[in-house]
Amino acid sequence: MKLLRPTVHTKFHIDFSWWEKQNKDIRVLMRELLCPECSESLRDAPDTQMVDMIDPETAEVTRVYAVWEAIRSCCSLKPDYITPELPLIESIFRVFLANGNKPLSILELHERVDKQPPETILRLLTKGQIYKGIKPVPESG
Amino acid sequence: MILQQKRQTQTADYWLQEFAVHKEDIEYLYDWFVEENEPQNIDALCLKIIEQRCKREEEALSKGSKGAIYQPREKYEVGQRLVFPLFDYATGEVLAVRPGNNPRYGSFSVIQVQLENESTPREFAAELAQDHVLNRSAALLEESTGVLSPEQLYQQYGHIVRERLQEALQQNAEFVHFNGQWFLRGLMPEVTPFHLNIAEAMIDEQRRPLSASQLLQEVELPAEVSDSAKAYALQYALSQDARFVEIGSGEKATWYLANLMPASVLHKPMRLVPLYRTQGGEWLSRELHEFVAEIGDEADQLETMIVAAPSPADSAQILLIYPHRREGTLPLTAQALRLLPEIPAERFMVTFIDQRTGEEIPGWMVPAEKYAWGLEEWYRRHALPIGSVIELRRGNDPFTFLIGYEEGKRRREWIKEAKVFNNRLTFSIQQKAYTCRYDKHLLIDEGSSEELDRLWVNAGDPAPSLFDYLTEIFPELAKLSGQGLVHAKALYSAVNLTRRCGAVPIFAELTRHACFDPVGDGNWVYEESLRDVVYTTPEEMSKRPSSRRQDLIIDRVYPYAASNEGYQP
Repeated sequence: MKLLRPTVHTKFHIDFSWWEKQNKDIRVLMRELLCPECSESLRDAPDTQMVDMIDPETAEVTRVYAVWEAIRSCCSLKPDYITPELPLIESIFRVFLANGNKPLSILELHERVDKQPPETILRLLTKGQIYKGIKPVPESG
Repeated sequence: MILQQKRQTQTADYWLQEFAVHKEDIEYLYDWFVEENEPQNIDALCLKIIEQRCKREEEALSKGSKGAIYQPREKYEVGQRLVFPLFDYATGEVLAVRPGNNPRYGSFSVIQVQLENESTPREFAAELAQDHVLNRSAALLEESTGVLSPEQLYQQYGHIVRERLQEALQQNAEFVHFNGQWFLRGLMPEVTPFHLNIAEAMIDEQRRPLSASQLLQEVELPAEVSDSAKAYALQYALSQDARFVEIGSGEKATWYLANLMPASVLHKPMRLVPLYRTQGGEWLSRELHEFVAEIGDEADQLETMIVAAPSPADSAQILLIYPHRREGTLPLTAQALRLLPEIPAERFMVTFIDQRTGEEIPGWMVPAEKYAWGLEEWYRRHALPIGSVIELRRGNDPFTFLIGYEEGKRRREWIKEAKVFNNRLTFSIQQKAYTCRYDKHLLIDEGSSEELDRLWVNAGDPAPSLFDYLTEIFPELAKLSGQGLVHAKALYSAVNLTRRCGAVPIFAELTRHACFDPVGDGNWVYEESLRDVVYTTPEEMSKRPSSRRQDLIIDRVYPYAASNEGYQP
């Protein structure tokens, strides 16, 4: 594994091990992002509940937390999931939750959040402090 | 109507999003090279890949070949074999079936499938009541006549295949790339140092560039190898040897010896490299814009101004300035470049024919660096001064050019002569006579070139700023006129006696400094007490509020080479 100096082409993702090391439960944060309907339907479900999620393109099934599945399949499709008023880092975090944490470059994030220049996003994500576990994906090799 | 299932290779998504070069593709190309034993260009390789992908798809789609096409709505049994088009037509066996767990999708089951070439099973939805894109795409029907051929697919998506295939081949040491052709390293006949020595001797003896087929008449490579493979291997070896220089490319490539090439052709003479560069966006008055166009200095012709497909021309008029005269080079201005029907190589041999005498003069053209070489003796023999108007015309073939100048009555005139005095450039007036047509403002007799050489400053050398140099040289020129006038073109010509500079940087300094003022007919004056005043806005540069001259000319200013608000003649 190697970590080169990140550029606007470097892919980032949410590093779940960072959450574990911080002793924080990302599912608590996920629950806050549920839309009113999903919040109601999952009100009594434990955070650990897993469900099958079907990929919209390949129909491949993956087992994911029920709250995360709700975000990906329902809540993230609603217009108020990412709004212009949200802080940049929160928008980026929500983008990763919505896309199943598929790695995205700074340029790709810039296209999706459409807020700040790519260089600003790069500075924010690399200036030292790690926000919400968003880190460069280590390259193998 | 004949109905059939939709092929993935017929979709834009397949080529634009999913297509990647796999190990099987490379192996397929490897086999093809062995079979054909010929170098191939990337287009041919791309077409083979597309053909192969289509063929594989046809095989997979053929009835009962490997199993049913997977669709999320169908029910499947353990042991059943399925084909997964989105996984590059991988086949897989159903290992287990379990009930699905997500109320969002209603009732469905989950099949566990072991795909070929994968170590761990994947899970897929089955018996899915909800709509899914795979149900639609697999069942999508189309007329067989609507299926695009590999050639048609190549027309539409070849650019993507080309890009990804090139990247994959570049990372594979078994493939060699040279002059747009790919070949297998293992199929190339060995070219030894002995072969290369023969090639060197042949070129040295004939003193002209030779093609690979000409060289192979004496460079003997194994007879069992195809001619194209021999030519490829020889040229590849020549390209790796510093003794040889490729002239031209592709089928027209010829080879020459580096040590036979003039140094001024191998490397751009430093006298032609601008010390002060034209950037674009410099503010110039309308009149100075017109002078820039008249002078046509190649250093002012920015890449951004080059027209993609300029209309060809039959002749070009070129003003000779000192650096080109000293180097025996001819500037290849935008107008001169239009004489070239094609540019066969970075540098190539040409023949200049003296329009008047018919004398043939061997020369070279280096279009990318905007100069031609080989005219030093011709300039000297015809006593062509700085400021001469040279005419270049197309010859009978693409590599022949007629060169000449307009001859007039020999007239004695008072002209500026450069002199080096106390390590400074000075000027005096002398009577001289020339028979050629010239621009009277650019015309300067350079006096002793050797003395000027001592003052020459190359690009990259420590040098005063252009403004400082202008304030040094302007008064020297102004002494020659009773009113202290200096024509802008004369200043440009004089600056180029000791350093290379386009007209634009010089004229931009005149425009923005209050110590220079235009007083009509292209003439400028200098007021030393204002040398620290700089105009910063276009309005100031135009109206020149610090000027004390009654004869000041107010002229609008425009940015140079700016498409929107620039000067339009």
